[in-house]
Order: sequence, then C-alpha cells, then structure tokens
Amino acid sequence: MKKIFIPIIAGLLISAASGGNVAVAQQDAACELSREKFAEISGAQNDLAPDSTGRIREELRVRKSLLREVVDCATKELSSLKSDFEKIKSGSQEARALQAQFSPWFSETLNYYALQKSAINDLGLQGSKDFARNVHAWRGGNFRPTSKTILQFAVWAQNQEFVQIAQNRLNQVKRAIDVFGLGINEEIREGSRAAEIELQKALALNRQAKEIIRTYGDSDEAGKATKYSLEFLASTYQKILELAEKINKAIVR
Amino acid sequence: MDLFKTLQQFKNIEPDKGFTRRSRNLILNRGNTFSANISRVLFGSLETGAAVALVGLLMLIILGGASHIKILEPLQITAIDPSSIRAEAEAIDIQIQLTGLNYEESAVSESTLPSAEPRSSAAAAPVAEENEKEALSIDEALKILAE
Repeated sequence: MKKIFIPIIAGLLISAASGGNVAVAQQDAACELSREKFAEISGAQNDLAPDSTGRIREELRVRKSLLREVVDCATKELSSLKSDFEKIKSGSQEARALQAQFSPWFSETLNYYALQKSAINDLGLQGSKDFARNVHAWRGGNFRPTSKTILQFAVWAQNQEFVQIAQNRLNQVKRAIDVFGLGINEEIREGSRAAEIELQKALALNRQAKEIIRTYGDSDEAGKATKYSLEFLASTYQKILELAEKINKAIVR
Repeated sequence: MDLFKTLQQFKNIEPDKGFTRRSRNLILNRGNTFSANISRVLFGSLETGAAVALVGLLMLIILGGASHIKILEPLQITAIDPSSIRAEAEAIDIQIQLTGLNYEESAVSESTLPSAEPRSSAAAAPVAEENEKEALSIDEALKILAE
C-alpha cells in the first residue's frame, strides 16, 4: 500500500508545487518553456520601429504562439495531476467520498484551459497581455490552492490506513487484558487509559484535517493537523508498547 | 418286520409348526439385529465421549477459571507481542518523516521560485545569464506574457 502511495504523493507534490522549476522539469520536452523562447518577444520589439505595424504583428504572433504553448503546458500539468489523483485507492469510505468530491474539479479545469486556448486566436496585442494576466490570476486563486488541497488529501488518505491499524491494535490489546483477566490490575488499567487518550487525540486531529480538506480550507493548517495526528498516533504506539510489556510481565507472574 | 415299519414311519416326521415359525423369524431378522447392535455401540461411544469432554471442561473451569482457556491464548499473545507493535510504530515514524519531507520540499519549491521581476542592477547580470538556460514555470511564463 505504502509502495503505491509514495510515488503518487511525489507526483502530486511536484504538481502541487506548480509554478516551480521541478514541475517544469517533469513535463515532457514539448512542454519546456525555455527563457530563450520568451526572449523572442523583446527580439520582435527591437527588430522594427516601435510604431510600425510589422513590429506589432510580429510581437503579437510571438505572444500568441507562446500563450498556446503555456496553456498546453498547463493542460499537461493538470493531466499529470489527475493521473496521480486517480491512482489513490483508499479503503476508507471517508477518503473515497473526498476523492469523489475533488474529481469534477479536474474536468472543469480541463474545460477552462480548452476554452482559454480557443480564445487566443482572436486576441490583439493588449488583449494577449490581459489574457496572460487573467490566466495567471485564475491559477493563483483556483489551481494552486486546489492542487495544494489535493496534495493534503493524498497524504491524509494514506494516513487512514495507519489510523485504522492503530485502532485495531489497541482494541486487540484491550481484549487480551480481558481474556487474561488483568482488568483488575491498576497499572495495566491506567496504561490502557493512557493509550486510549493518545489515540483519541490522534483521531480528533485526523477529523480536523479532513474537515479542512473537505471545505478547501487553509492547506497549511490541514498539513499541520495531519502531521500532529501522526505524532499522536506514534505516542499511542509508545503507550501500547509500555502496556504490552506490563501485560507480559503480569502473565509471567 | 416291526422294525422295518417303524423305520419307514420316520419319513413322516415333521417339526412342530410353532417351532418352524420361530426359527424362520429368527433367521430372517438376523441382519436387522446386527445393524441395531452397531447403532447401540456407536451411541454408547458417543455417550462416553461426551461424558469425558464434559468432565474435562468442568475440570478446566474448576482448576483454571474460564478466562485461562488455553485455546484463546495464541491470538491474545500475538496482540501484545512487542516486536509486532514496534514494527507498526516504526511504520508510523517513517510516515511522519515522509510527510515532513513532503512539506519541506513543497515549501522549498515555492520559496525558491525565481522572481519574474526585471533585474536592473549589474549584479543581476550573471544570474540572468544563468537563468537564460533554465526553463520557466507556467506562472513565470504567464507573468512575462502579461507585461
């Protein structure tokens, strides 16, 4: 399970850190937005007199061509994110519900890019600049935060397996206490209570993270809640381990 | 002569009718009696077995108490086996590290984005030369196209 998840998270991370050079490096050769290509804009500006029609036409041609390339790259970036997202297979019903919630965003975003690309042909020089500004703003307000939330979701979904295993383990230990008739041992009873408290803290933070993700809240907050939830899960195991040692000693006695 | 006549009369000797009927019934019912005996033996064995099992169970309850029935122990001992608990705990630790690394990488990717703002100072020249070889991100490209 973990082996499947790690590359998915890595993939999502690369996409979620979108805008970063890492993301660009992961795109195929056709999607490489080299600085040289963008230098063609200033080249077109310098070739002819500033007010000449030829210069405007050439600059517009270069800008439109670059805009098409950028929108194609954005579409590929989204497709890659979608592919990683679809690989998330969680046994948790809550995770599946969240996955279903995020799923339509991919097709909506793909439609948005398709629509934008179809509008490039009709742009004028100023229109092409406004177009780039609008797409940039849209990505800042929609794509980047949503892809970050989806990254948080991937991490959260992976953790559900660990949460479930920890819950099962504590239940098994509690059953063992009953079977061996150790419920009367004060030390063991106290140890069991301490492990339960840690687990409840982990579960509360896990629910909090899920709620932030579900409501597209602050992804940093979701990340913190997820991380602390795991830390409480680790301390639950510490308590379970101490408890198991006490039980083993009591059985031997 | 008398002896000869007597011997000839032996041919007419017949068994008693009641004896014949009883004998026939005994011979014909021989198979049924055999299966009835098998059932009786089997039932007897089951009775004995059940009695022995009940006595054993009673002894377990009397001597050790119901909670110490040995058949339940292996499952419970696995649950409190420190090595398996430790293995699960280590998996959580690895997950914490992975999650931490993910956030760090994400933060670094965002904080090290090259600025798309134009550089005017002379010191920026070598950096600009280096950046010319690098690829632009989608958002950087859009920023340049918006200018």
